[in-house]
Amino acid sequence: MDASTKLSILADAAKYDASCSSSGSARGNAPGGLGNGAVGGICHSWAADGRCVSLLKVLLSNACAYDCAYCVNRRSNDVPRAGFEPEELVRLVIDFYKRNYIEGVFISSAVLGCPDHTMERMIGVAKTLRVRERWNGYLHLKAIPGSSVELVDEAARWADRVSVNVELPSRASLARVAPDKTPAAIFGVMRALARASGFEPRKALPAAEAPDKLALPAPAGSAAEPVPLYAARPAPSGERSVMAARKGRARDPGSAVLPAGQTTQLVVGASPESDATILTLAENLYLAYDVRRVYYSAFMPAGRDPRVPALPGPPLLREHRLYQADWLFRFYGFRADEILGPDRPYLDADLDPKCAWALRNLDRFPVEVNRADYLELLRVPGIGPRSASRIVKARSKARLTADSLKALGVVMKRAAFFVTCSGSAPTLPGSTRRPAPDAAYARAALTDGAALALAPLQMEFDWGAP
Amino acid sequence: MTEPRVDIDEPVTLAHDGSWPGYLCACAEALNAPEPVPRVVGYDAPLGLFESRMAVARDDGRAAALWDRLTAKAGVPAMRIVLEAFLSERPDARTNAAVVIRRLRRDGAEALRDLADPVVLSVDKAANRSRREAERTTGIARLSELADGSWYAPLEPECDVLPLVADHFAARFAAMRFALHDLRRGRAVLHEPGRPWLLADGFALNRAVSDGEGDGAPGYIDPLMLSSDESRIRDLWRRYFSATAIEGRLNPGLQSAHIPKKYWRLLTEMGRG
Repeated sequence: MDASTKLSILADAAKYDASCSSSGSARGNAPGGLGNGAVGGICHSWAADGRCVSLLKVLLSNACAYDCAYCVNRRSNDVPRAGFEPEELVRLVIDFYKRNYIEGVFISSAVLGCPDHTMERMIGVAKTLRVRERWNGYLHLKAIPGSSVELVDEAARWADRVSVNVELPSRASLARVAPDKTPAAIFGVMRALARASGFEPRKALPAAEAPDKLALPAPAGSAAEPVPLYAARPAPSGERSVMAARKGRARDPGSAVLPAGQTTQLVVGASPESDATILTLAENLYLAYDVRRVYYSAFMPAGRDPRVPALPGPPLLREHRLYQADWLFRFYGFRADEILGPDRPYLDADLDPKCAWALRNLDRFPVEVNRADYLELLRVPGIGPRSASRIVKARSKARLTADSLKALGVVMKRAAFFVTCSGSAPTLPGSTRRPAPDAAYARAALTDGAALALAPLQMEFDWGAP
Repeated sequence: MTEPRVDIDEPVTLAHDGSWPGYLCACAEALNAPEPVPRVVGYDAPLGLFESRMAVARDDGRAAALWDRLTAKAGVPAMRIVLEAFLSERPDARTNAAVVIRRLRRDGAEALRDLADPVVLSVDKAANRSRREAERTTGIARLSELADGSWYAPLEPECDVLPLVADHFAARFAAMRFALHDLRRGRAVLHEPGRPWLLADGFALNRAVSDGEGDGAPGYIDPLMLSSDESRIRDLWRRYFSATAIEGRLNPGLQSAHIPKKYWRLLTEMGRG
């Protein structure tokens, strides 16, 4: 098989992993070496599906011993199989990197025999790149659930980021859809990665009795410990938000070991869990393991496997709303229980989660832009981190008016419902009307185009049907 | 015969030659001028009907002295914003940045917080624009290997970003001999391993080729100049690029929102070469 066909097969097999980011590492170039890390990450291109291309994302091999129902590479699926010789992949990375096509490489693999053997092969490529080629570009390695702690630690030594995928949002779904993977195998790796990047997962354990705890097998020289898994309940109110918890964490992009930490991914729509379950799990992963990103991947129905639903298309709208909610965790100081709860298990299809929250909490509005603190400003629909910090800067010099808000980048067609400028409500853009947030039209005015753009592909699946 | 009318509102402007040091010299002149403060414009700006314009000569020593004085007062991040605004080439950005320089001298970096002021805001936005264009350039520059083992990347950035991206590429490709060529402005960053990079005006990859007509679009590289491996690796990259898109989620609108079509011409994966 020629190199080009191999590359096509192994890129095609790797593309469902959503992780694209190349941020978090400030690895320097070595004398006579090639490449370095860019802390903010760099996108090098955008594919026809609109996703950014930053890393060469390939599998070392797609001949998998496992049989996960959602995965195109599962043992029982009939697809062409291929594998790179380590040397071929090293050559490809260097050739692409020197042309500035890529920021680095994301190496993953189907499970070849056993997890440890697969990890050893990926680590071999990583080591060649770092040592022989003196390459310092961004290296993301996928860890295989169930790998030994020693191999996870070694992967962390060479990589900027290592990830292990949660895959399914509950233990029951994991057992049904990905029978070869166990919660202990996944969370054991996640715990090892947290430690490798200098974060002690034990500290983050909630003291309260979580209903779903599991004793992981003890690593050599320490006692078994409970780890929170798939907690059905959100963190108790009063618990800090993901954003607040992260502020206190020391992270060193210049660290030699795993500077960009770990990420994870789960499949949305291949199992019956609600958005509330997914977001609660995501929040717990951010808090308990210092995961940098949780990626949500709309289930792409691939072939007929009775363990997963036969959706007409991927649930893209649902994925989009989950990402929006995830942003609220990380950059807006929201907690999961503010966004969803047992009485409200799904995100609103027509509104972004921040608008939906604001309309449920009208007692907190309007916010006076000349007085409100940064966190209050962040909660206003139409104001993001950039415009909030611009507001805080600008008002130290002058009183802000509706016109100045617009100039500072505030989206007035949303914010007008929720702010006052020196006591008076701004008018809606293009009208003389002063919006009252409880007006019947507020919801309609705040509806965004996502449902229209993404929903035709999304249909309900009746989980109760036989 | 009547006396020529003297208009006390007659605008006085100071013209610079378009270079960064020349611009700083005009700003230095404006700082010393009495009220009303003269506007700083380029030599090539159209002359207003009642405008009286004074050309300020470029003097690199004077420019460096002003830069040092301002940096001592306002700090490096504030002065970087001024430089970025200058490089944005937005209408009025340079004139407004000259006003901001005056305020920086008086109030220090604090002056940049006044974003409710249209002049400060326009400088802030112009600087953001340059910064974003520089970030984009670090991603979409495509280097080609030439037959002599050196590397060449043609660029067409909206802003004059070469001074903002040169350090990045020099650190990343420290062991490579390369040229980053801004086709719009005819300038290039030239890098040799082990030496600091240089900015060269009036650069052409191959004069003989670019002086002749009909050798293709700007940025075109004669295949004879390329290394023997170049076209094979470009093909591999195109193969990868098309394989990595998920068929079930094709979204060309989103793609061109991220990377507008005007940039596609120089992107290997979008069909160039």
